[in-house]
Amino acid sequence: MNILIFGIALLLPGLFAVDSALTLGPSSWDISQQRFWGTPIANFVFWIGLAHAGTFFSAILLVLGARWQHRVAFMAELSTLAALMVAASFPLIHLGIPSEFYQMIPMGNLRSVFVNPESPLVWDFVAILAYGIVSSLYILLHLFSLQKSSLERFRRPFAWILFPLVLWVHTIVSMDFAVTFVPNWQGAYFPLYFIFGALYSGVALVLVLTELSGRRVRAVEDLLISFSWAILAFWVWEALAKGIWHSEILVLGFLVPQLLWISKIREIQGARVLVAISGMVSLWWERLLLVQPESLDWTWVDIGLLSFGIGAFCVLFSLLRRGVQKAFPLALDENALEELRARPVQFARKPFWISICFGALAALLFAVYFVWNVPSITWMRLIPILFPIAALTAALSLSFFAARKVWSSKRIAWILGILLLWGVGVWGLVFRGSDVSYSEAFVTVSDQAGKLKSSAVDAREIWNARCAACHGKDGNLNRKFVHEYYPLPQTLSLSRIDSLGMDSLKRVILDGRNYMRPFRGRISDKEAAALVHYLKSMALQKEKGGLE
Amino acid sequence: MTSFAYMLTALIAMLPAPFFFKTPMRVPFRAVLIGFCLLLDELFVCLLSSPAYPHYELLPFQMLALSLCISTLFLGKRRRLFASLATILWIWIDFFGMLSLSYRGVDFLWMPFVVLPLAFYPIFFMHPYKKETRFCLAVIWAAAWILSYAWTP
Repeated sequence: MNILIFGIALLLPGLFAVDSALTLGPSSWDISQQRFWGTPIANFVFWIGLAHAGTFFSAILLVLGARWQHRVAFMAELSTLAALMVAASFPLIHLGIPSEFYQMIPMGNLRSVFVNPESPLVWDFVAILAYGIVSSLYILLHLFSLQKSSLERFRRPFAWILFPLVLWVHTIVSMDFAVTFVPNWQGAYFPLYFIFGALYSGVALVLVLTELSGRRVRAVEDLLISFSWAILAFWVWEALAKGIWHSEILVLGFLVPQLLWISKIREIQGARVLVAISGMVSLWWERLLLVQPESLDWTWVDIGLLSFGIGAFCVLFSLLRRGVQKAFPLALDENALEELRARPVQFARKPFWISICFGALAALLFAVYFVWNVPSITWMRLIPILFPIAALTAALSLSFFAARKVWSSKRIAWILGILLLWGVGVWGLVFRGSDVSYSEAFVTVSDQAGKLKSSAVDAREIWNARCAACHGKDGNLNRKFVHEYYPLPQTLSLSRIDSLGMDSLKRVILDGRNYMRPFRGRISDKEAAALVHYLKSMALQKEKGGLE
Repeated sequence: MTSFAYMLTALIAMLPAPFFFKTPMRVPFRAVLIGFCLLLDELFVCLLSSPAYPHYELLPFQMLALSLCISTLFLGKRRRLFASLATILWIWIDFFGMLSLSYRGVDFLWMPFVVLPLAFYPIFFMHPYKKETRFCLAVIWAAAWILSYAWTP
């Protein structure tokens, strides 16, 4: 109850910040013009890290055979679901147009925009979606296995699928940074660094939640100390390799957890909670400084988004916990779990391997489809997206085998039919896309457009407003932005403009081509023609050496 | 980084490996031991190598992976599980490390990914506690280390 009230108290003001962020866009939060990413992305990385706790305690420790994992498994799994939902909301806020999120689905050229499967942002979307679905299925399997013991034999195979997937997800999140042009973000060691950071913050979160529920698991405290040493090694390496050093992070994230070595302090419940919170704060601060290393000029929206994250997590976690307590009372009863754990459990070997084969086949088909359609794709860069697809398919197949153990064929057929219909419906909606009413969404621009004449000055204004984000103010590409989303467009040159001709360039602007989206409806024919002239004038200037 | 210095990094990585899991130890003590070795690896790389070496950022973690692989040769039980996990960790570090470096124009070295999976043959198809298996694994991991050397003219 206390967590719920605390959560509501933080969530309500946080919702105002979310509303502002969605209405005003990135200008509402502190954002660097060099990096484009602000607090929403820092919060996303932090919360997705916390979402690793459940899988770590439930799946990874199950696979590694830790005897005490069942004592915290459910708590951790619920925290994973809550943290994952919170984490997923931040990229939507960052996008500015949440309704367009489906553009990240790698669906080939179905909607005339070929989503680049070499982009880590697309990997991110697929990995998190797969992780969300697989971890939800895993927790359902775990809950139902309390009532139907025949399901228990599927838990370990499922854990073997989830184990690499959870590490993969945070590796992919680290690649968002590691493959960019921003020097501070480039780090070949980021995958491991991010994984350890995520596990550290996840362990700290579970420690806090366990303590708040009036229990104590010493092994979790030991893990907290262990991960503090692991993360220290990465911070030291950052200092040695890049000269990045933040003493406050070292104090909060490494020195404070060492207090748990002192048994007198360790026996105090409040001290244990504070140490865990200190670890989480250090990790959150570290991610913020990674995303935004310049001095922060915070707006109220930045603080509101932080409040929204914590509030939403507390509310979701308490509601999930209440729901589980009502529907599966055994799940949070430690004594009952202790008895259940003593049951001999088999490993569903055959369904596991069949599911793995299905997963591999799905990944192979996906790879063949993309490489077939765009042979220029560096196929190695498809690998990060292939594993989540394989894991998702394998988990769905394993769930099907598990369902067959408890439900009749007729019931399964019904469920599959409903899921199929739902899937087809969602796919249809994605294929159709959302309506864009230019008259409403671009009302300000069309008003301005009416006043504009196609002079060179006006064309420059349109160029800066509409084209410079990708093509650069001088026509020489905004490499930082473009490279993260699409393969690089053509560089500006007079010979290329002459070879294409003015009319065809005008058509490209109005109707789009390859990765470029159409601007018809947002600019007039006259303005498009003015833009082509402006483009040519820039190319001429470049030829003369005026533009570098 | 010279090939001699690269060989030294392998030696430094392998030296503490037998002690990681030799005696029963509480989890945090073991973490401190491994963490401390990683810190020493970092210091060693910092002193011996230079940022011009293409895999400079990656090297301490490759050393850690090698240490963990070698340490599984001294495990008394569950050697198959931990040897395969350590090998996968090495593949993981190398693959994602090189993938991110490839976006900066560094060549992607394929040979470690050909050699490292070979380790699964002795892990799963030979007796886990026989000397022959340990020898085979040591040879494969040593070969992977040598082939991971990013030679620069």
